[in-house]
Amino acid sequence: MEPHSTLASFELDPHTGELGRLTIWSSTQVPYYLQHKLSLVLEMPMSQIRVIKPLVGGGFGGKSEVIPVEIIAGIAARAARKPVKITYTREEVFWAHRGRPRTIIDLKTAVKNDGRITAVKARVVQDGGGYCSYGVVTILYSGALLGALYDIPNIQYDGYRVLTNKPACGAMRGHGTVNVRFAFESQLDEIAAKLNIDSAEIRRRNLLQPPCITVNGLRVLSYGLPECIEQTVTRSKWNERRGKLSKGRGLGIACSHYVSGAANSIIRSDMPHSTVNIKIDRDGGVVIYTGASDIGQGSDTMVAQIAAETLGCSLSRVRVIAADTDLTPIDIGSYSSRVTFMNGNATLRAAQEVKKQIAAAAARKMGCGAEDVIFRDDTVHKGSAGGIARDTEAQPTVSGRVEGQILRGSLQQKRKDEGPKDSLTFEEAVVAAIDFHGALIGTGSYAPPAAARGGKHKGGGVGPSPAYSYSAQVAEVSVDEDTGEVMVHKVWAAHDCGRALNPVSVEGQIIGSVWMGMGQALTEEMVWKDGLLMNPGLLEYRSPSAVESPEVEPIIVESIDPEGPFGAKECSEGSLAATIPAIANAIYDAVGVRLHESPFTPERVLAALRAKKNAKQLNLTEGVDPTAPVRFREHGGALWFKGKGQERHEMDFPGKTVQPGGAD
Amino acid sequence: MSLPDFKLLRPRTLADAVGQLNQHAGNIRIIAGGTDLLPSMRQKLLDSQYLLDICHIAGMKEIRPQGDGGVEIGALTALTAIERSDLLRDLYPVLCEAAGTVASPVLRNMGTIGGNICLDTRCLWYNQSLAWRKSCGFCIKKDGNLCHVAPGSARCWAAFSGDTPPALLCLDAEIEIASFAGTRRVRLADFYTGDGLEYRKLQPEELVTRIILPGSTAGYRGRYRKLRVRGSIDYPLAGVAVVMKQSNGYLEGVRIGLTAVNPAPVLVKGVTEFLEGKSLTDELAEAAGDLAAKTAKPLTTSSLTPEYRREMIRVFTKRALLSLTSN
Repeated sequence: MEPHSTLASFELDPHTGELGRLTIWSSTQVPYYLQHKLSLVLEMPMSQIRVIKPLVGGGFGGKSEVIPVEIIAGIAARAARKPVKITYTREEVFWAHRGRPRTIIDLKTAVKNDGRITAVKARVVQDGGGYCSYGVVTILYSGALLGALYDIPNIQYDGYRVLTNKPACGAMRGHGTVNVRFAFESQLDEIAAKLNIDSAEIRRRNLLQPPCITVNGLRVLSYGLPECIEQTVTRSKWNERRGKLSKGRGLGIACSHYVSGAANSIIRSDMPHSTVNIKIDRDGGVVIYTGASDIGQGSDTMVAQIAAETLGCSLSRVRVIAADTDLTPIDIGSYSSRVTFMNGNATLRAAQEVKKQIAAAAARKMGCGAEDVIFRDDTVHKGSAGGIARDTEAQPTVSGRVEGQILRGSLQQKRKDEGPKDSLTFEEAVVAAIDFHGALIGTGSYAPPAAARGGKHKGGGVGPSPAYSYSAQVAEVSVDEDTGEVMVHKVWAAHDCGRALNPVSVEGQIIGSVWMGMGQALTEEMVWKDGLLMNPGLLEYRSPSAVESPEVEPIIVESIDPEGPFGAKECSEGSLAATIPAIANAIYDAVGVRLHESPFTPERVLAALRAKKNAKQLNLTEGVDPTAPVRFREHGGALWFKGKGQERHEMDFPGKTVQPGGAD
Repeated sequence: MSLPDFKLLRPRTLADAVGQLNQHAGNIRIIAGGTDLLPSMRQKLLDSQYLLDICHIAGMKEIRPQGDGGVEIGALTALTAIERSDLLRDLYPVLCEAAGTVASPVLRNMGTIGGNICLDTRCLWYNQSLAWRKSCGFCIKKDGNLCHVAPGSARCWAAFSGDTPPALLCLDAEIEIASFAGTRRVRLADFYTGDGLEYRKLQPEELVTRIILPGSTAGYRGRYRKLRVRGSIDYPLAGVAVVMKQSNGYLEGVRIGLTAVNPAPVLVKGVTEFLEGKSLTDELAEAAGDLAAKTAKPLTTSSLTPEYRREMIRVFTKRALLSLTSN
């Protein structure tokens, strides 16, 4: 994934040399937010700023807000009167991207003897870093998405996002939900063990009964969680294998969910969240103008697929022009898993509008009612009711002139002699429609329905979504009891994405989510010492490599959402949150230790194992028992040294030597 | 991060190479595979004006059997070649195993055994960009006079993080060093200083040309165990090489080498005598592990805590010994 990069360039008037419009190419998830923010900072009208999103290799939330280089490049280009390009180094990405906040969670869950949850109380503190960023949304998501997964009649939530002397945190894949979900699913597992209920069964006992509205105002229509649980349990042979695996090996289950786009946009307005225009010309090419930002997730493909499916034409006809503020209508960006649902719905509506126009013209040509016209395989033909429609109204040829440009001589005459036809090629139908209506243009937009916009309570604006995706995962791990090393062997991941518009993409998103979740579970952590990030690079940050990537079995569950385009919901973020608790629960099943702090590095696992055995304890995590994280592990605050450069610290008197390794 | 400016010298013969080394001594660095050097140059850790690319010197990439039953390895031999050499696998299996754990396959194709022996010591406070190091006032190893790992210490504790040297130490290897003045041979055990800053006894005009494995250690069985967070790419956070012979179930000549836990790769003292002529039991293996753990002096130079890394030296030593005697 490329580091953040921006190129800014002003048009110069060739005669006066005055600065004209600004064009910015930026690796962003939100070109329209960028246009808005640039206009505020540069004090230029939005119409004078064009933002183009080129091909972007990945976002994951790190490019979902306007970053300093985008503004700096604009200001520098204005001052220099030349194009300015700025690209972060990888280290700068580590400092300046908006990562997931370190989170302290106090969670209390009340259950009946049968495992039914009656209440949840959570107190969440997030280390937000130096600036607000999307922090308010993060902390509200952490509370809001306690609901809508299970049936919880009472929720009390206190969230604190604390400003600290660190880089700002913001939206990252699974915005706000991931850490709290780890806590919740771990606690649910503990409760199951205490009540002697199977871990999968306790989740089944707490299912929602949709359609419903949760206690915190989230509307759930489609709900594939029961099938997700069944699929993972069956495929992993949960019932036969759990508790019967060899020593140090275990299975764990966990569930998660996520929004299919936020029902309320960050910049509050009543504007549609997505608008899509479609233009079809006489060449039979379908051009889609969409503001959706393809950041590698494949939204361009999704948009093309929806249009082609609606119009019954082949994908090769479809061209997508995306994410260019001069050309495309507004879409608020690629974040909170909203693009397929919202931009997809807008595309669907635009395509339906064009289709209606083509159908009307084709119906006249074929002598049938517009509702009887069927679009399939690049042809437009009469439906079953066509035979009746033909006699009612004999249509003359609409235009010899236009037909003449396509058909020639005897062929034209022959067709005319035949009278109204039963089918038209896509081009013929398009030409007929252009002839009939003038330009063939359709537009569609989507705004989440009022019913899905949440309750009126404080913070109720964050969390509501037109639909929720669901995920259940079973992880199989083994733990080396001497070294504390954890190995994930296989993950069965079932995801309810409504309808899989592109199953290969959906499977890719599920596998990617599991892999990214595994990184957070086992290795990835930003380590701070004396205000310095100790691992600002890919070597020391240690994302999992191919060697420790487990086999992932993606299972697609289709619940067909009533409001999604063709029933689709999100599939790119929901699966991530389940991976971490699934691994934690599997570790518990394997060796009986409950890890309360991620990542589950070998030293933390070993410390927990030693604590359990009452063996000689190793002071492994700088004085904090990993089973009880009550404070942040790092000792932030003042630097050791006073001033910069060569000055030595006052405590660092010369001559004193510390015995290496002797300080434990 | 961009590379600083430098002039690249590409000698074709060893004589040319040592000549150029002599000419620019102190202002020149040697590059072979470049897998460790180039990232360090980007981080502005090295400020030499000249780079001596020795890749094109003939005759330094061979693995040749010697008259005494030993083997001679050219310093430019790629780690992949060592990993896959049938000759070495028969005679010195521990070296092949250690070479096979270095970084990732791509880096092993480029990285050389000579480079692995001369590998710069590593530390979280040292292997960082210039801006990063500047922000904490630099450190004793580069540009500063303070050790952040052991404040108050007058020396550098950066850890030596090569994988093959502990195996080579166990095998009693010697290295041949060439310079303008001639060649000399040193035992690898005498090559390292134990100081993170001046970590090896190599003059600026000198060049490691060959590694000589003696016939006396040929055929020793061995294991290399490496602690790292990921199964690939990472430098060792702790490494244990164990070699031994066995006759009638009794141990002979057990040697244990450690890496990544001290500023130099070290042999565990006293372990040969301790286990000589004994039949290995769990308790003995445990005791040998304790000996090894006592030798290890890890500090907070890398991720994972020093205590954990020392504990792993104990566990890995024990496991390596037991696995060597179990079959």
